[in-house]
Amino acid sequence: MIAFELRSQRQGRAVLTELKQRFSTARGQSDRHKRTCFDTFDWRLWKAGATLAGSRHGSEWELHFSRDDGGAEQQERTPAPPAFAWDLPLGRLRRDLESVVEMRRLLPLAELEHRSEELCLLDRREKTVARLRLEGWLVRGAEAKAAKRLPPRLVAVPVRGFERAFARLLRFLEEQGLERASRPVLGRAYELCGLQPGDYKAKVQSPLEPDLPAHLAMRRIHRQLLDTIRRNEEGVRQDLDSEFLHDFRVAVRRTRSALSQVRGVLPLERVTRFREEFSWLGGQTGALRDLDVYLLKLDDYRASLSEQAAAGLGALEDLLRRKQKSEHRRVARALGTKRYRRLLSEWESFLADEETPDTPPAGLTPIGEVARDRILQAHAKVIKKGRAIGPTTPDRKLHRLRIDCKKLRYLLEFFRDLYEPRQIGKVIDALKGLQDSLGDFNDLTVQQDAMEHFAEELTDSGAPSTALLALGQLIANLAGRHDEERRRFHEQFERFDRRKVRKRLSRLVESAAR
Amino acid sequence: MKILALYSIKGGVGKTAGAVNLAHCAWRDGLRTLVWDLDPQGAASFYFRIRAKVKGGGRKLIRGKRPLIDQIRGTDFEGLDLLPADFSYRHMDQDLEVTRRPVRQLTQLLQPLSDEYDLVLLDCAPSITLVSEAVFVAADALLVPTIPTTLSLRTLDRLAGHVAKKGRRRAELLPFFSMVDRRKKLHRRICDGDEARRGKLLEAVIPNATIVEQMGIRRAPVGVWAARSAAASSYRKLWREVRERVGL
Ligand SMILES: Nc1ncnc2c1ncn2[C@@H]1O[C@H](COP(=O)(O)OP(=O)(O)OP(=O)(O)O)[C@@H](O)[C@H]1O
Ligand SMILES: [Mg+2]
Repeated sequence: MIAFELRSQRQGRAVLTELKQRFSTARGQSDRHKRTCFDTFDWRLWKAGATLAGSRHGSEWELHFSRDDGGAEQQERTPAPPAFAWDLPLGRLRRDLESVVEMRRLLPLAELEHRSEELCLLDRREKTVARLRLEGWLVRGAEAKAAKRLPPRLVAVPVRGFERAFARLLRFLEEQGLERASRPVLGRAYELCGLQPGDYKAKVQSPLEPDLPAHLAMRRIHRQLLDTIRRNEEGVRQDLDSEFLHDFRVAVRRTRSALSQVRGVLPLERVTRFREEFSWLGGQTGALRDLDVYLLKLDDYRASLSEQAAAGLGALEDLLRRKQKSEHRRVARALGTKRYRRLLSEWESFLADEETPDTPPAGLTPIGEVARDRILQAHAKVIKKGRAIGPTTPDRKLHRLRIDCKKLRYLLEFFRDLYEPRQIGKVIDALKGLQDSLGDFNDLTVQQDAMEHFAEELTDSGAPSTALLALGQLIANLAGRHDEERRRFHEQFERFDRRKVRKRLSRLVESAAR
Repeated sequence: MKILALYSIKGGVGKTAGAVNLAHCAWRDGLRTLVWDLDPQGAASFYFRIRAKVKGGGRKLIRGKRPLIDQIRGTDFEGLDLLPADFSYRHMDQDLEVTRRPVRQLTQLLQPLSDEYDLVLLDCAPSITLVSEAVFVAADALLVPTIPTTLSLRTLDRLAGHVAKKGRRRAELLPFFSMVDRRKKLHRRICDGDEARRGKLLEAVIPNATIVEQMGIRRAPVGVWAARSAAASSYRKLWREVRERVGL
């Protein structure tokens, strides 16, 4: 399919008329429809080159899913507008959609109205060998009233196995002086609605120069983290999906980590108060995140159990949902407090105030040097603690190491922009392998504790014995994986503690610190 | 991807008419559909206005020397494609014979298309040959148009015995009455009789209708130009039933 952008509908008509005179043609199908376009908050569909649109048909919704990389459009009928991929009936569309959007909510972003007429190019047998479609589009944003018009397009559509006819059609269109459209309709439509596809990333990457004074660099990084907190706030408040809170929490944790790890570059007294406040905020949201995680894991749990035991998970699910709801109410209340609002607004003005006289002298050190010192220090700690772990070391030491790894990871990410992208990418990947194994190991223990706790609660509330059977099996499964995960840790640590990785890291951090 | 074959030992019973019209129904439902015209006479290709010819001939295609996908052509319906017939298909038995596992060969050839299509309909030539054996293995179900006569019911039993015989994964048998003329006493008796009632045949019945014959002049599925006719509606009903049975 190749699209050409037109100045006006009239121009398109003229081309169709000319085509009719030069080739044997027949009227094709004309089409009219109005569809709501969906995407996730972080633009997963857009980034994957996929489109999900739907419209109401009587009491049902008809969904259309397609991908730029070819393949025909898939359709599905659902009783309600889609909220999550897992709400759709089992099938290919759901599978394909779920692999892209996972647990994120599908948000209705814009309404696109389409109108088209079509001319078919025929061969001697009066068989259609190519199509030319004149398309007009109107778009309306989720909250907007007035629709906006996109420039009309002529779209040349090939028919498989008739490539020569298609080439002829393209030549004809180029002779008419038409220009190929540079961007897909959806992108233009979103922009007309004031949206910028792909504008949200959970990752921080502030542009940094090695000789930027450290306090300015840190302000920049913090401002970006604050922006992430702000942008996720509404989704958390409405509990749109689990990832708003996740990104919100990660940004808060990164903020705290940056405050405590890169000390001495910002005025100490004021920073101490902010650190306490952010620690309060992090504490407010921890329990809710845990519940979200268990709910997301329910499918895996179900799959790991015998059929009989899996049937007992219903009681656990009910319990989790109830708890999640009440925890969410608590979090939403916390976000409505004056304390929270004051924290963000004061933090924002503090970050903006770059001329403040109480900036300590260390704040003027070039960021490249500060980054080197902090990263090397955090790295040394990970190596030292990791090497001290043997087969009989208690589990809690591994949990501590996990935290140290996370700190190192955050530092590498804050300062990523200072370094050669491929090299820093490799270091982060090696660390990531180690973190994953530590994370999984930690999850096992945490989940096991939580499940034991839920089992007690369910017993007290007189839940059916099948529920306890399910939990019993779950706990046994989790416990059974303990040794295996520990082994994996040792493997991963060895990979991270190689000379090559250490060398690469020290070369990198030196490169930005003259 | 499901593979369904329009198959019968007997000729002229409505296989091709079934393949073309069911394909159109599937396309209407939004399924990405491919018809493979396996009959050297190329009737299905004709109905879709596509030349019954594959580049390089059928032999290379069947032996797997050239991927099927390169020979596929779009019909007048976006998302409904055709793999055309070729006159050389009359030697398909011999071409299969020389492959490593002849009865698995069609399955093998179709495998790479499984991401491209939701449904493949095979329009078979009448007969019972090595090609049919390969079809029994490749297809999820055999749709067998059956004219209501005593003889054809007996043929159906034999076919059922034959398909079920060997241990491999084999197609399910889904026969349906075709070219039914309710004015004929015999047709009425058989269609309403025991065999039919025992659920051996699908419920949908394709009537004998001039509309279907006219497809040869219109060169398009009946759903396109006679959507309201009894024939078109009987194909839709058949499609819905088949879709249900094979879980599409
Ligand atoms: N339901 C019907 N009513 C009337 N005529 C029909 C019907 N179905 C098919 N025909 C006609 O009968 C003839 C044979 O039909 P068709 O080609 O579909 O059968 P076939 O089983 O594919 O034949 P072959 O075995 O030769 O491939 C065609 O001329 C067709 O138009
Ligand atoms: Mg035929």
